Amino acid sequence: MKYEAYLLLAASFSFLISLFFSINLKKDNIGSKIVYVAIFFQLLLLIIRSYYAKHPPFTNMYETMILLPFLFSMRLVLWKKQVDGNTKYGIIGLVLFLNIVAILLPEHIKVIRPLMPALNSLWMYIHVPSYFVAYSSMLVATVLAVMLLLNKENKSLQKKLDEEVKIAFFFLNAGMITGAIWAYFSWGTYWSWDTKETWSLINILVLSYYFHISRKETVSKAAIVIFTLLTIAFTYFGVTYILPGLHSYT
Amino acid sequence: MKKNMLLSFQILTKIIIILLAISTFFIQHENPENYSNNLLVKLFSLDHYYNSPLNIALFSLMVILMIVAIFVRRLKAKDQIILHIIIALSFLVIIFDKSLNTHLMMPIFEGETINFGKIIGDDNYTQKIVLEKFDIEYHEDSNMPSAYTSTLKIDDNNPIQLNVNKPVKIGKYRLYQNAFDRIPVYNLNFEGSDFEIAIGDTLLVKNHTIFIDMKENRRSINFCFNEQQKTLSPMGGKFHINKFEFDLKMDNVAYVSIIEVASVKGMRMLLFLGLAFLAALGFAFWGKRS
Repeated sequence: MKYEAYLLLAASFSFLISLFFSINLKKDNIGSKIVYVAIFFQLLLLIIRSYYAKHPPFTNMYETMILLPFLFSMRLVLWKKQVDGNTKYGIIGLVLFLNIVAILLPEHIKVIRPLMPALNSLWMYIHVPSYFVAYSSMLVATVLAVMLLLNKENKSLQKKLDEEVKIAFFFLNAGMITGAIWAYFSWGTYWSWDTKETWSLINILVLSYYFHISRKETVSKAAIVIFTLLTIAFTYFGVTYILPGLHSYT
Repeated sequence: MKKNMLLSFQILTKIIIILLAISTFFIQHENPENYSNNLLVKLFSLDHYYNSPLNIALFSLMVILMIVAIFVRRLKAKDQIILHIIIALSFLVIIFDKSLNTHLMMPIFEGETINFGKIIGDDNYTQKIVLEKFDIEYHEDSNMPSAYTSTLKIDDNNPIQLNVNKPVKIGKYRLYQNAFDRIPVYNLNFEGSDFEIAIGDTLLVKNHTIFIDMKENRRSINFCFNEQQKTLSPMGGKFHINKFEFDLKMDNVAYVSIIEVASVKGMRMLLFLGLAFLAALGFAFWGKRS
């Protein structure tokens, strides 16, 4: 739908203007205010999409591709200490990239589709958002990890990375546990070794590595975070489009 | 010792991750006849990995490592110990519970009566279940169902409704509305009499057995008369087998409600462990210690 692309473009344009004010004109306070305008456009898009779809915007690939940059950009206004300085610019850059991907997705992926009966459950409102909070934290963690690789001795970055990974790990587990409860109420089984389930377990196992190496191994920790993001990306895109399974509608 | 413990965990986790990841690229088979003969696939049970002794052994080893880590005081903080005990217990419950679970599909036609005890193979269950009605609601301007409901009558009790996501309990079993199917119902004229016969039904007429079945490709049906078979189009038609004449016509379509029957013994325990794990994880990350 055209209005969705316009809202995404408006949000992206606002982010670009905020970058211009923050970096080129060195007026970060104005840049930060323009970020609110950009987030407003992202939120408006989600509200309009939900209104027309008659369901929350996380039931297919396109909807999650507009939800993720919104949650990700919310990190610019919530808990600001975690994302100051260059991290902020990294996040805005990634949000812009995700918005462009969402705009360029083929039209058939953007079509509103009604919900299948199994998705009509209260658990969907807990299970899916849990994962997306985790994914947005993993994106922030990856930005921090890349910066840490460039500046290995920065203790503040290490601490921020620790905090972000904790959030991601907690919500990855929350997503998996609530998914198991939902599956039990829908199909009488809490675990089916479905490909997406298996890969969500792999994500957790990979990230659990982070907590089982020495605090001093900064490079390894950053590498684990980046590798986890790759396994999450595969879980999301690869499993959806390459490997068949119960979650093929996502 | 402590360093070895950590190294063992790291190696074991790597093996588990790699094998789990590779196995997702293989179609998983339950029937040993379908297992691959490829040496590597066979060695790592990659085409039936999840229920294989290798997968169970690796996760069991992980549980043992966690318990040993607690006993050799590799884990010192109380929250870490509690967290690892919960994970170890969860894995143990899952490993044992999987072997105690019952799962089976119970397809039932509209109007059909089934003996529940016979389906689950338990004589203690004497309930007779009738599918009185099957209703489907569709989304506006779409052929996607928004909901489907089986109205079931169990013995002489009042009819109950079985919906997706809302299971019904019978003793230790739960019934789940899993899916539905549409199956053609035929009118069969044989020896001057008319009979109603659906796919999967068997008729006994004057010492003759008549059975019809849908072929796997769903493009034809298999008509069996005693020991003889004839392949027909799904619409039926007039035909002869030996000296007998048959006239098979598609009459209407019947709904088959596909109900899943499950008994998951450790679910309450796992639910408790899952929530306890999240609480312990939250405390370990953001509790007093940190």
